[in-house]
Amino acid sequence: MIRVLLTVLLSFGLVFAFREWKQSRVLFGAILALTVGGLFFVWFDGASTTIANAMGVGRGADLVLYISSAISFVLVVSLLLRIKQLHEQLTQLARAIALANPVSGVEASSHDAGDVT
Amino acid sequence: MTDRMHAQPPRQVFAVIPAFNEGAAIIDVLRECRRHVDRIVVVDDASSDDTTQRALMPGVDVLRHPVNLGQGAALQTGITFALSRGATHVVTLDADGQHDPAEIGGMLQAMATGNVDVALGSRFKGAAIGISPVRRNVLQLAVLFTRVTTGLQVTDCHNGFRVFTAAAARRLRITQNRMAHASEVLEEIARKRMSYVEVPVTIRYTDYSMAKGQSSLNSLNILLDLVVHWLRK
Repeated sequence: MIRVLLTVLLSFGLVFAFREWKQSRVLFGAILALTVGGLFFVWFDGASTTIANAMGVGRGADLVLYISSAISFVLVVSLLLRIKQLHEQLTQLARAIALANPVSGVEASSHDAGDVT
Repeated sequence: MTDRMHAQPPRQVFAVIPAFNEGAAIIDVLRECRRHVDRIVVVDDASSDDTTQRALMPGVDVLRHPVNLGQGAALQTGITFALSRGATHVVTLDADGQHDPAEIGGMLQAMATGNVDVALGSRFKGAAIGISPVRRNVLQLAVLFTRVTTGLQVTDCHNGFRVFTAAAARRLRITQNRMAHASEVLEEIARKRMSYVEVPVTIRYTDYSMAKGQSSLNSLNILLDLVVHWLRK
């Protein structure tokens, strides 16, 4: 039962990875690899200990913990990119407003004391 | 007829000055600057002081961002505006008085002599008056980083004193809103194969500019911005 539940949850990860395709190829690859790796460990849990030992990690559970930490990090970076994307849209809007409303200095300015050459 | 067809448009040098809470210094900077350029564009990056009001003097156009975006964003806004008003050359410089507008003529001359797209001011070829040892070392590290990442053999980076021809300014795309834009400009020059010349300039670190300027620790933020920028590729 827990395997089915985890598979469903990780499948959302796959959907998330493909959503990232347009925004960042690096993130797409990272999320895809981590999600597929997670699915592998869900269905072949014995393999996690074997791989963990081969990688110098004591227990399979520890390896899974490390991978989940990596997934969290990737998700944080993904959110950072999304915030940056929103900020770019804000920049375009603010720039359009600024460009549409230029104000020119007047000749009779009170603090004018120099010459334009 | 042939001469008329190939006649160059009259030179129109625009200075673009991003400003954020520079009410105390902007008037002196503008008075000095307009002796050396045809028009000035001040981009007030949502200052909370009277920067906009003080900048309104003859020969100056002021644009105001409704929210604070950062120096890189302000530069791009100002450059876009200058090009729309017929600039043939775009000079960028800081609003805190660190740069000496009297050096603009030398930069334009160096561009004409070398027939290049961009003039980059170099404080390490010229003078960095009052620079702290920490700032000097951080900048030297940044120069090494820039040489490795862009291949440009520059002697200075994060120096906001530059001149672009209109054609080069049109090709330039500044997407880094904050201080990482300085690295991005050099990346753009390298990637788009713009020709450039480094010109010795003088940077004056005063108490005012040091208080207004970025901390050396901000280099970590710049690095993070560049990493995020790279991830989006």
